[in-house]
Amino acid sequence: MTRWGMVIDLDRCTGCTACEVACKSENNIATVSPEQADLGRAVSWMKVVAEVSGDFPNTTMQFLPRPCMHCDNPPCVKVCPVAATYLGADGIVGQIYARCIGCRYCANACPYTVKYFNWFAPEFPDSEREHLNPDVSVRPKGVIEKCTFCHHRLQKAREEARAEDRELAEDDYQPACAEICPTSAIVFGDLDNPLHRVHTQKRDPRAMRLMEELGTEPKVYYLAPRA
Amino acid sequence: MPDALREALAAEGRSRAPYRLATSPGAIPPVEFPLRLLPYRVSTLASGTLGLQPWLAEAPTILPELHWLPWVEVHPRTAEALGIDDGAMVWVVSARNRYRARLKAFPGTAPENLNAPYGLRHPDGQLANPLQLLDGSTDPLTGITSWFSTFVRLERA
Repeated sequence: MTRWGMVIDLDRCTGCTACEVACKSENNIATVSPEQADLGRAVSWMKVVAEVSGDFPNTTMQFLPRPCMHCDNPPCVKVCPVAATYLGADGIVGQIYARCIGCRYCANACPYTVKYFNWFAPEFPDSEREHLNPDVSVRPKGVIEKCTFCHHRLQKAREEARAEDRELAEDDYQPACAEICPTSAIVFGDLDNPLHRVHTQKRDPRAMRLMEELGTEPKVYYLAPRA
Repeated sequence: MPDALREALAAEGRSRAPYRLATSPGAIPPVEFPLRLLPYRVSTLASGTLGLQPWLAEAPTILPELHWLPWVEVHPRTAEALGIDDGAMVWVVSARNRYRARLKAFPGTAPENLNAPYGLRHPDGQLANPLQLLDGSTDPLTGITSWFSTFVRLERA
């Protein structure tokens, strides 16, 4: 069985936020008003976190792209009273919008703060409506949403591989963020498959995971910047 | 650029910039406009001539507290000296024009400069274009606009 995961090389990340833009476009992320955005209610399944240190002219910025960690031991799944969020057999933590009752327990349980509540019904201007992705459902008001590792792409890739009577290859299934990354900082694949790049990269001496001490077993690895 | 090359160019009367800055680093700003405006383009935004998709305007930069509104980056010490808080709305005023933006205290900005991204409008559609503040001077060699040629001041909006 596959175990999909991601390795992000922080030395390669330039903070261009192409991953954020690709994710929002791919997954029909709705916007909120400027006032609500100021209250922290903007949704961004993939978010590049920036840390600024030093003072001019010796200022440095470090970037950390942060999707859902798709934990092997996900706290969000444990607290969901209606099994709306679940850990799939392929390692992807999914969200069933029709089942979600909007209690937000999962958003509070997630130590990575990557689950987003829809405070409002999604609204899309005409200019955007024409470009919505038909493979991704639009989330209604009152439910939680999150990064799915572009699960709809996996379904499509599986069907195509099955139709061609072959195994699923690494390039067949890539989330939008990994596909768009101009520096290939984001690498995606099956963590347990020796033929996939992530299998090797997660063993790099620089590899680490966020808040490993919590025992959540995230499947997103980071390669720490070299000094 | 290596120091030796810079010194050689300087000896020939040429600076490191590919075009002449009307406000060269040694220029003394006029008293009423003490800050140098540096407009720049954000990689995720268009030039401002087109309307943006909402999700581009909602997260135009990696700085998480900036949404929708145009902003101008100011060194924290400069903002403190002016008595303007981080996040406050300000007018950026040049001799030619002015526009309204949110002040973002950013330590990567030179204390005597303002970094001004362009491409965003106010949510009500009002233009907020730092390029309109430029004084229109051009580089004598290439004829292109001298983008960093404007001195400005900040006023609380």
